[in-house]
Amino acid sequence: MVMLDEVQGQEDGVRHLRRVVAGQLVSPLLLVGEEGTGRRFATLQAIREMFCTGTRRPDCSCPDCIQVTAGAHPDLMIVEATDKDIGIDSIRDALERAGSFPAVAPVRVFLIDGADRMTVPAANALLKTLEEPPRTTRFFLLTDNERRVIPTIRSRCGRVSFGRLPESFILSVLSQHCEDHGKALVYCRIAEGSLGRAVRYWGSGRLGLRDKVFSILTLGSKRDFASLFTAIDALGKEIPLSLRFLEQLLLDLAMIQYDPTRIINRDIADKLSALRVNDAVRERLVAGLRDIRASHRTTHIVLPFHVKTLFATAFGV
Amino acid sequence: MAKPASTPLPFRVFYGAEDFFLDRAIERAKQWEGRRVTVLDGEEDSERDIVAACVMPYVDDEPGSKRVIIVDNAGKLKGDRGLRSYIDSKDRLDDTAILVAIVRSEKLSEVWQTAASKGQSFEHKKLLTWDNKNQVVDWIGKEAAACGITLGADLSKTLYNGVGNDLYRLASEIRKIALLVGDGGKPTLKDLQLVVTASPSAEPWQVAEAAVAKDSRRAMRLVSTVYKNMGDEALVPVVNALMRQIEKLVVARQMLDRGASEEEIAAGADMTRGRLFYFLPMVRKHDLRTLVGHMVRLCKLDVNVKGAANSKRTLVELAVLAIAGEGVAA
Repeated sequence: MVMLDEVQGQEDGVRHLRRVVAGQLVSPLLLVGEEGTGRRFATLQAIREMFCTGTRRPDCSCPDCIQVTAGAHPDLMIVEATDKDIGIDSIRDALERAGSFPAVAPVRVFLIDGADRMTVPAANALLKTLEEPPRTTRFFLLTDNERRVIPTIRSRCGRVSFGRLPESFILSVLSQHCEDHGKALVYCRIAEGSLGRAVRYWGSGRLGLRDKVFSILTLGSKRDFASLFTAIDALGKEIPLSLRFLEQLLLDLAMIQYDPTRIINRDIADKLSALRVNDAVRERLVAGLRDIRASHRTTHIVLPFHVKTLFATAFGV
Repeated sequence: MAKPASTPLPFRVFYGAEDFFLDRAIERAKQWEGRRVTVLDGEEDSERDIVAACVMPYVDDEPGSKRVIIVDNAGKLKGDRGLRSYIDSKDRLDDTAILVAIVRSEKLSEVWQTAASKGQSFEHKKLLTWDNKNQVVDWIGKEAAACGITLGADLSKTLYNGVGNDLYRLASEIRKIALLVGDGGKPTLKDLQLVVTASPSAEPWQVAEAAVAKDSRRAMRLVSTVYKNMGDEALVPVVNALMRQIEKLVVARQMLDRGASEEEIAAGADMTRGRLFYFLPMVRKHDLRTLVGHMVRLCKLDVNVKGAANSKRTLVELAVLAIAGEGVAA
């Protein structure tokens, strides 16, 4: 059993990474998938396989494996977007070392986590190297939003897709921590195929936020703007996640009429059935959410006012 | 043991968001008679420097000499162990060194709270200019009295309208008027016009208030003044102010339509009864459907102003006109 065998539910992605490890694929790769689907884990496992000087098994604890896992290997350069976008300086600093030979490993690896968060000058600085990468260098660019990666970068990379993880797999992991199977299933579904999200939501009890969003939807249906606006203000910094939950609730409202077993928020199915939100309002909310997402692609921050407007227009006056 | 009334306490902490009063506290402390004055800055000097200034003897110290140590921007200091132990160990009766801390924020850190508890603290909040109580106008009257002249409420208001809410400028203008009319004088409107250089100021919330009051001329004049004073940076605050006002209007209008009482409307729109008294006539000028339309327009405007749209000022002006006027599309 090798390290990449540890990656589950991503057969297609793993197949490409095995070719990289075997030296059959040397071109830069753009690994596309939502956060928590195993992109970064799989990439690091592939890098471990390339760098490992030990047993090459998942539990190997050779110095190279430890350094790769800690992100501190001399031949592994990780550039990642945190709260700031990736600027040209970070890319230039990393590329300075691209031309030199690897220090200890057979190849030098550049892992750019958040390729969509590179500024345009940073992406342009990377272009030339991506076009003709040194033979001893491998590039892995990770993104959850492929369309925001500039086309010239996309065209120079091989695309590897990391799809949503199967529900059964996420449920099996969550069930190890969560005794309540019904709750584990809800967390699994609201995470939408992302193990990372499922674990994070479960760890921070995000069903509480989902319940707040549901109560906002209820207040909207009563057209009580004073209470509705106060409840939206109370969401504070949780607005982006709240909008995701709102979208799921709206999907459930559409689905519950046809197949209640397929809804995401199974634990509140009764409340959803009782909610008075007609199809026209639901569609207006969905369209409004789409507008918010489109208009905030550049500014990122969604103000409570935008959410209030969404509800005020959807529920009508 | 009771503390003698004349002995000053070892710590004086001035804090708040009104820089004028804090600067004035510094000036007054600098003029403390019979004490050697040392001025330090929390942005440049460390806690160690402050403690040293309080306890280390100077070469030319005379026996029994006393000192005042003024620390500007004291809020920037983290309050290390040395400073903490100095404050903790300082005897309340020991007035050889008086530490005057100027914290330019509304909250005191733990170390300055301790100092304040062993001495005195003075809070200087930003003076309110909204609601039906204009504290700046009240302050003008008091400041004039301190300068030896009598400025009535009307003239204080006139001075405020002409100069704005910059207390530094207002204080200078009051001193000029006092010099003109002399000690004990009672200035007239003519005296004010002779001395004061009018440079109107405007705040983003005033733009929003004029717009929702449907006073389009005043709203446009205020937009122009805000833009003149703040430049492009004025646009986001103006849009935010418009959003806040429209939001309150939507809530109040809906409650009014539903026959809610004034208490309920005041609670729903998060304002005092006094404020609601001025706000309700504005609410009556709008209908809910149009207000929701303004919300949609403001959302688009917010994205445009923060993004890369061209002619942002024009977009803001169009939105103000759309709210203030009738049938103007932004």
